[in-house]
Amino acid sequence: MKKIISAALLLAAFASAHAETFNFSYTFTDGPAVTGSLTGHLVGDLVEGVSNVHINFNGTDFAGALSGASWSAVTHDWSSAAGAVVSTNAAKNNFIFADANPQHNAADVSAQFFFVNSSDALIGNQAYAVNWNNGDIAFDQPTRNATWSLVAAPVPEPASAAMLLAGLALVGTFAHRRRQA
Amino acid sequence: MLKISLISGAVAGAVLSLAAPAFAAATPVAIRGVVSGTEFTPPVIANSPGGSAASRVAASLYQSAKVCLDANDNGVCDAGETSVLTKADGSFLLAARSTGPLLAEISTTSLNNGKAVTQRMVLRAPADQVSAALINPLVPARVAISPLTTEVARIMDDDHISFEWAKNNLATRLNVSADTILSDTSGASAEVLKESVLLSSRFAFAAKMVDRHDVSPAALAADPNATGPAITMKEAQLTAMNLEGIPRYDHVFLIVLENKATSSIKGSKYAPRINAYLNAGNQFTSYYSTGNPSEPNRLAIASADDFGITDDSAFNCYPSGTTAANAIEDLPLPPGVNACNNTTNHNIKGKQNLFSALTSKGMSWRVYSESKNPGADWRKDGTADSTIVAPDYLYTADEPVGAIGTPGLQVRLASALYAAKHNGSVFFQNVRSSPEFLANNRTMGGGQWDEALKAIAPAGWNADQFGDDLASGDVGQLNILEPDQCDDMHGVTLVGTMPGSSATKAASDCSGNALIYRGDKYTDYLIKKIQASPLWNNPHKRVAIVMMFDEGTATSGFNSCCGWNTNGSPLALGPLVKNADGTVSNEVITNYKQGNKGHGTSTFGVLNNQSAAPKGVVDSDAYSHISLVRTLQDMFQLADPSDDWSYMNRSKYSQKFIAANILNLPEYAGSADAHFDAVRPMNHTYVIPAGYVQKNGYPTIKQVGPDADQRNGWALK
Repeated sequence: MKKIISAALLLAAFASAHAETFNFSYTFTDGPAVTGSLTGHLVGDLVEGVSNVHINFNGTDFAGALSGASWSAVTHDWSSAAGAVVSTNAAKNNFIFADANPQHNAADVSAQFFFVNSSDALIGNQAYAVNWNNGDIAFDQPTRNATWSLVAAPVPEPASAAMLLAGLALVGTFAHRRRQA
Repeated sequence: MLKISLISGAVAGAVLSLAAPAFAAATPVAIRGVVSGTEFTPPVIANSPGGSAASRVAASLYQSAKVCLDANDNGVCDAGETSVLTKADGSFLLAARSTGPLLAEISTTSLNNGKAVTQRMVLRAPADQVSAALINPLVPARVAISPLTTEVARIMDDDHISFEWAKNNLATRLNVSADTILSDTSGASAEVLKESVLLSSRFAFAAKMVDRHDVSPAALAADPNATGPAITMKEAQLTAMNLEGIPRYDHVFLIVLENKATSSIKGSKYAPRINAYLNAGNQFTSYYSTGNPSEPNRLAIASADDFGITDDSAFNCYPSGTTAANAIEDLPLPPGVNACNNTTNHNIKGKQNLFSALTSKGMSWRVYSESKNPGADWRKDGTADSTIVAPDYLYTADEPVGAIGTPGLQVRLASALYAAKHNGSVFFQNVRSSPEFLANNRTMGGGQWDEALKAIAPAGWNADQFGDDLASGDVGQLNILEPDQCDDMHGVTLVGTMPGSSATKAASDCSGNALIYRGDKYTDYLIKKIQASPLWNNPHKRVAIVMMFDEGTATSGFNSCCGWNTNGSPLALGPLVKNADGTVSNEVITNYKQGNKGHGTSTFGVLNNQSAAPKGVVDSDAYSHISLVRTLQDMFQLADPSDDWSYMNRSKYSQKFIAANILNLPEYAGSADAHFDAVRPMNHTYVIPAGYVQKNGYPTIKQVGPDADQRNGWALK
């Protein structure tokens, strides 16, 4: 039993250690684009554990921490508890990222980007970004799924990692010698 | 491109906009949607069937329409109000700090389905429509701006009711869901598209009133001579539905009866039902015919002129030697009909008439005729057929005509029960040549020979299309109901035979007082039939029934008015026309002798289905068929009240018009009563002066002075 728990902890540690950064982008019909990044791990084509979201809309970063949610076809409202549903498959996207909680503090939102493909006829398939701070706004219905891209951010090559470790070791050695001196 | 200035609301060519300043305390909203309507291709009205073409209607989207949040709700996109231009697909995306009513200013630089817009128009979406569309503060509200949403806003203004009521009332009127009213017009039914066309025409006219700075109706109500302030867009959209005091109706049914003076009907024991309707509804007690016999009157009812016709010769008759000008173009002629000679042209070509005018604006007309030989040509009188028989009508002793009628008498279908001379659509070459001529001439049941006609009719013949149309709603805006020549009180020789005998015997009721009683009963049948229809019982459809006669019987005294000057010298001058170069001249019409027409007054009653409409109105101002045509042009927005020239034929002869053109109207030069001789809509605006003695009163005591009140007999509320 201890061996199983140990293995699970080891696996979790491994997975945590392997949370990835993804870059995403979307281009609206009228030209403006959203680019950004988030952290999570890919299960199938869905990103789980989404955090650390950064969005740039038409060249301007959304300021502050961004909250995520998804559109509920049941309550016809955003659901923070359900969290953002982000996928490499645009047809599965159902998310909003805003600079305030979209469900509970909608009045405080001044920048948002949502990409929803929902069975709820009230909203359907829409993509919408707005930055009330500078006047940028764009909307699509239906969504332009072909322009959606979500890919893992590039990680350093093995040789580069070795050089990095060597460099760190060298720095550590010099520091150690300075302390002895 | 994306970046939008926060200082200027409008961005040419862009689809994105934000209100200035940036997001503050109020929750900003985004509104997206389309500006939609209809693309109406008018019919081609021509004398030649080959040159004629039907109108077409398609749902449309407006490009380069200026959409704004009308923050001060004044019907104008003011400077500083957030605005944006629609894209090629009619869409817009507008963002502002709060919701409010939306406007779409469609200008002559806009495109309607890619086609140039020729008349500016302002469409609206009420603030409540925008609010209702806001499903979430962070999701752009989806709002369509269309003629239908504009009508919702206008109804709210007109009736002082909520958005919900106005929306539902319009939906009920059109028999569609409220969602349909608030949607763009793509996928809309033909009925909804037609309504969009009619509304577009009204709202375009409203913009025209604003652009030419018409005086505010509120100011004119306070002072008829007011010169300002100018009408606002919201006022103009209300006024456009009520031209010259005549409100817009959806459907009007004219029951046209024959040849009875007021004295023969008013208070007659043989017309108890008509009298009851006259008293329950509204009456016009000085209503004059315009000629003698039927055909000139029927022409006047259809077009406000008789073009010099003073007899009942058929459409195929015209002066010898004028073939080139007057030849029949809707060949072939019906079997047995050949061109004939007449001193006056009866094939009216190139003249304005209500039928063509209605179709030109996207509306429709019907002529429903009774006792028509199945499959026979509408251009030809009905033919006698001794094999088509029906029982004689029997009456009981307690009826005013007494116990008349012969049991067992088989009454034969007489000739000309259907009379082409009573069918106004037959007179005009461009109407006969139009694609809808055959389709719009339809049968009307309830007649003595209905069952016999059905028995010999070809497959598919419907003896009562009128009944079906009432049930389905497929009636016209203008519906002229033509009973046969017994049921319309005209009278024909009607005989029958007893079984086993060849001797003929007169039917009971197609002459004398029984004829009136028969017509009274048939009129009652038609009115009850209309009043039982879904149309009549839809409280938001505005439906009127008119009971009228084509002519009276007076041959002396003031037996005509309102477009004819009976006191003037009969001159062979045609009606005034404005030439292409702006000059005015008299049209040359052979045998045109204005000033010698008329056949006295007849009863004229109006019933409508509006519970809030005034009832019991008695309007004794003088009117004629020519006044009726002006009234119908106002009702269906076929003319511009500010321009008398826009009214067809003699209906343009208002008192103002006559005064302005008196040098070209010598027959009016010696007018003793300019008001009496001039045309006006039947709006009861004129207050008869104290001491004025009615010229043709009933029965013998003429009314002196004004009416008891000035309520409008056509008013809806």
